[in-house]
Amino acid sequence: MTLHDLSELQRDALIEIFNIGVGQAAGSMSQIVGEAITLSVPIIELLHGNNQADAIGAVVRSPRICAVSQTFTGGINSKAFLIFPEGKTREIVRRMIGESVSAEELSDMEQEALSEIGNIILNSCFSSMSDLLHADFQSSLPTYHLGLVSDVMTVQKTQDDNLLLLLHIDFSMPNDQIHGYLVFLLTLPSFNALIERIDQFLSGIHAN
Amino acid sequence: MQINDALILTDERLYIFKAAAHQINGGVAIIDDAGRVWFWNKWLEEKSGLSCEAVTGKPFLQLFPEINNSRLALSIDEALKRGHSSLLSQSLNKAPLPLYDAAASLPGNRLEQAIHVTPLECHSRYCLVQINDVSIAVKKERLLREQADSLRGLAYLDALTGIPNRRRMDEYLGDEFKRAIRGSTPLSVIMLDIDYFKQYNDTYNHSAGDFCLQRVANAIKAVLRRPADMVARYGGEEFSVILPDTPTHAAVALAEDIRKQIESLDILHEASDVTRHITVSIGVAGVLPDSKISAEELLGQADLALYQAKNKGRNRVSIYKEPSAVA
Repeated sequence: MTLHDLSELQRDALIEIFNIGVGQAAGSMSQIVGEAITLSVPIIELLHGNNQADAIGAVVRSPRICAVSQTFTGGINSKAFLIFPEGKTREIVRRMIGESVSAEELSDMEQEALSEIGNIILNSCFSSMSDLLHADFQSSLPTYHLGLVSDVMTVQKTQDDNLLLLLHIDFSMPNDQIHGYLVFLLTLPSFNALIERIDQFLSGIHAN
Repeated sequence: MQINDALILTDERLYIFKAAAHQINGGVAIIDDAGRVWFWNKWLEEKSGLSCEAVTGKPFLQLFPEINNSRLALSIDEALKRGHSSLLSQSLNKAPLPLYDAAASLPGNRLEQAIHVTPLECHSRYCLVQINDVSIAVKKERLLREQADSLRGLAYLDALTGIPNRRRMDEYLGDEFKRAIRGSTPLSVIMLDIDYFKQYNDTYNHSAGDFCLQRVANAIKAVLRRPADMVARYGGEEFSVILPDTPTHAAVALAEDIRKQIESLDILHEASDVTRHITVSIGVAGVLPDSKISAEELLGQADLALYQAKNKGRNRVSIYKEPSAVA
């Protein structure tokens, strides 16, 4: 298997692009909630191989996760997820809608609220990629998932040329910090297309 | 001739699709790439009071100026410019559009709305706005939440005395303890035990014992003045009081008031070794913001002070002192 990796510069560029994206999302979320929310992406990791679900489970440190996914098609095809460890989900929803969540599982309305949060963040990330990498994406509506990492991610085991970008995302609110994850599933051709665009972006910067 | 047939068929299909869109039990609006309304179904006509004819060709933002700069307006823009889909949940977007129940005799509240915004790709891009009335679901969830809250309230009360039980106290102490540490405010805890209660039960029977517990609980409640102060039945004949924002010396004064109040109830207890009526022993412990103990340890300290009060002859208040402070 060929080992795909990111150079230091490519990594920095991606972190920059995603930070611009989540920064815009934080603006929208603050407007909705009426209090200052900041989002940042401090770390990016590239995972490959067959045991991606295990790798995600190990990073998230929870076998069960709550996720919102969207499919993006266009310049680069990807299925994108916003992920929280199962136990953290209630905190973020409570924080956003301000009502106490008494049940163990989120109600339909709460699931929808979480889906919207994921929708805002994922769309913003792809908007930022569109603007900086000059690639257009169309996105699907968000879908809510709850379950084991392997069931939620449905990584096709037969295809070992799937790559996975994993980003840590920090939600900072007054008196509170919640840690989540963004995952982008990419096929090898899409990954290569992404790298190509990042290199173009980088050479554009260096040309100036 | 064949071309004409095909056209007729296409017209019929178009007609059927349009008729179906009108019949859908939810709002369907299609907006063109210039932001103008291209289609507006019957459901929307009914709930908005605006006919399809009246809105077609008009800019959506001009029809509903209040949504300017809102998430709905941005979502439509994102769908038309970028091809992104958006979900607007009822919880995070309070009734964005002025839509009302058409059957209501009086103009009531706006319908609770869940909105989906998706791009439609043609030679130019359109945007589909689907609106669902989720008023019933919202009402149902509110009801469920209220029921859950009241059930939880019952699960947190002591059935005999009607005051919070130990489970509730543990949670409350945990919350208040964290708040005290965060806000650098004092917090005190009182543990209280009825003296020779076993003998009281043996002498006067259990229903008298139950009545005694109720009167003691009410007496403690009567002494507490602030809504944040909480008395709970800790178990058996033991009670605990949580006093947020209260330094130890103030808690001791309050404990003394409680002790006197219970003595003044003058509940006859001839089997008591203290006096001829019901008395209590009380332990007090306080936490300072910079201390390193946990909520459980604080409770343990109040319990230790309570044992001291008993060892010193009962019907009295003892304060927990750090072992080092004693030496």
